[in-house]
Amino acid sequence: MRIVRAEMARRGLRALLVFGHYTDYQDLCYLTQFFPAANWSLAFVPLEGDIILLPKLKGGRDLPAARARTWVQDVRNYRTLSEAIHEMLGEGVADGKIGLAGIEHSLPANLHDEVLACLASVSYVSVEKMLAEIRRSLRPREISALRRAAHIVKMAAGVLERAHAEGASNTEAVVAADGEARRLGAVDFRALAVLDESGALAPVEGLSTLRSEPFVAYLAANFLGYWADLAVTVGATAASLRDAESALRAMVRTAHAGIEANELAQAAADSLGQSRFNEARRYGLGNGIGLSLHSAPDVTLGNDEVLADNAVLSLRVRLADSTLSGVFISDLVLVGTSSSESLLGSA
Amino acid sequence: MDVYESRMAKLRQGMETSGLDLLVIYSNGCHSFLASDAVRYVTGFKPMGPHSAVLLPRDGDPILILTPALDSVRAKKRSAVKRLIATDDFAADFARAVSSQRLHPCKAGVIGGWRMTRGTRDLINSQFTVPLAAFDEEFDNIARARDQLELQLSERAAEIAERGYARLLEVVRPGMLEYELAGEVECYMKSLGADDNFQLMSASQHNLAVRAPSDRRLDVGDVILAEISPSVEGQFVQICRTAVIGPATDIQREKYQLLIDAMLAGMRAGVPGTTVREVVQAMNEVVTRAGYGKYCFPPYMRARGHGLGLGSASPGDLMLENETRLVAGMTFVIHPNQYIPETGYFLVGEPVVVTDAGLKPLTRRQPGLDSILR
Repeated sequence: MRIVRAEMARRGLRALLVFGHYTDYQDLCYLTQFFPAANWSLAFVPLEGDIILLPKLKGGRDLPAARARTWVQDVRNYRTLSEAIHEMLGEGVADGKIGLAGIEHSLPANLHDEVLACLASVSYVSVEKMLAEIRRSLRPREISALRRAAHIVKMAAGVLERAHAEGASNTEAVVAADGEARRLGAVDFRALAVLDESGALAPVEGLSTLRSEPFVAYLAANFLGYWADLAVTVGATAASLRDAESALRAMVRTAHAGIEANELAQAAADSLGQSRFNEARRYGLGNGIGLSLHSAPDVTLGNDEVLADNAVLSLRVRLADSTLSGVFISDLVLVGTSSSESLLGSA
Repeated sequence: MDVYESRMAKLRQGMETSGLDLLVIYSNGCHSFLASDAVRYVTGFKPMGPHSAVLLPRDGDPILILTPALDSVRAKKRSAVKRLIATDDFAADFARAVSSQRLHPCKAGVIGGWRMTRGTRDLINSQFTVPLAAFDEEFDNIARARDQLELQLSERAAEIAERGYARLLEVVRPGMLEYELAGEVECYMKSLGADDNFQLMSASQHNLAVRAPSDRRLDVGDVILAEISPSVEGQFVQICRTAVIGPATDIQREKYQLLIDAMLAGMRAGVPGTTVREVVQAMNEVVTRAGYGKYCFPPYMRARGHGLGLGSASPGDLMLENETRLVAGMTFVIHPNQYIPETGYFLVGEPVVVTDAGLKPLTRRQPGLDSILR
């Protein structure tokens, strides 16, 4: 809050209105620890004084549970968005500029219209870039949450591998991983895996008896709003994994604060050669991760975004081979000043 | 005619009535148990990407535009709509697809506009000379009575939900973390074929409400609240259950029976033609007569039930303000979940289908407060 408020003061902002949607809550969660499980929430952040959090409209029943999920003391219920904004803005911010975040990319259009209508007589600017810049380096508490998410996804992957080794179908192994992640405290879990003869990564959409070897899955777990992911190839030969591992190691070795994202992509390209690199980048080589499963920077050639110290990246390589699944491996790295640390213990 | 052709035929009839040449059915890739999921409803395909749309002309073949491009393989396998455009550039391909319809002028409608961000709405509207007419209400009316497939999937999901709850009763023990228990139930239901689940599960010696599972350790005397909402092929149901770790007290049994009686009153009242308001009133009257009228409103409860995705979300939230009339074949969950001062919050609820004889539960077990005696 000190950092955010210092930046607000520098930009002449009297307050922020920060929305969070269940599909995109990065700024809201960063500021309040809270993220909505459904619909949207709103935080009012004055330059001085208490933050107000609206977890959901007409959510009186859910206020006690919401209060337990945030450090914010003033957690309130409102009947309408208009009532919320007018009362929040009326709390000492009659004049001056306010900052707005979280309305462009996920808030439904009708709500977006309503917000702007409420701000018709208010001077406002978008602060999404400001907050994104502040969030680039994760704080210790955030890294701790991410470590826990990484632990959960690694344990889930272990259960998937064991289930598969014990004869489970691909789907059964994924379901077992899902259960393990949730038993360890994941608030959300996603999985894509090769579940049919097409070899494509797909979500579980019912029971399937397909069992393939090797078997590829992508798992992601959310803990306290922070995502960690892991691509797993079960039963692949060392030879088939070699190219992917080599490229992944090259990206991990290259990753440190101050370099551009395209240098990681180039490291993968140099390792794989053009043809295999074109194949790998079809699936993507990686991106930032944390309060979103997919955040900046994208690891692509031509992306000159600079890696920040204490950013976290999900780096991955997927390659085809003669088998149904191909290979798919990844690592989750905490970017340091001169090197990076694997949060999955596989650096 | 298969079920998807039948669904599209009904939409086309609606388009004819409304004078529409083209329908844009949009999805942002989010699948909620509370909302309709129209792209999935008409195609059988569950979109994963941030933008998907079906272009349904009144005459001619529909087109499904989906993201990301990598998902084309799954779409080919699953979608009943066979003209597919799998893309990483939704804007460009949507524009091309609309242009390919060669409908000038074109009166178009949209289902799922409420899912769009402003940017997406502007993009889609820019392809037409007049903004698209909202068609969500018409869709809700067309789809409000479940078809055979939806009913079959609802019955299967209800069976899975009940088995999931039975699993909870088998495995729960003092010392378990709430989320350990929730994870066990979720994993079990998915092993039975559920493809998704919305779950609230929490416990306390005196609950104020139900919430998502936390790291609280269960203890003897805890009242476990479980709102279990699995889906099968996108069709959700919901059951609401309450269990006590240890013997339930007489007062707990008495107050839980009160809520069961309220639910049964609502179920008797829920015949075709009745309004949601009348069903809610029937339930509230039982609770009010017992002296708890004050607790029939927020913050002591939220709603007396609600619609369930995949198709229509009718009849919406079961609240006094809702004048929607029930029609035979509608399914929703009826749940007089609420706070009672002597016992705390209780959950009791069943997924039901509207019949001429009232609301018929899709579940088999008789409602009751469970005691876990181990």
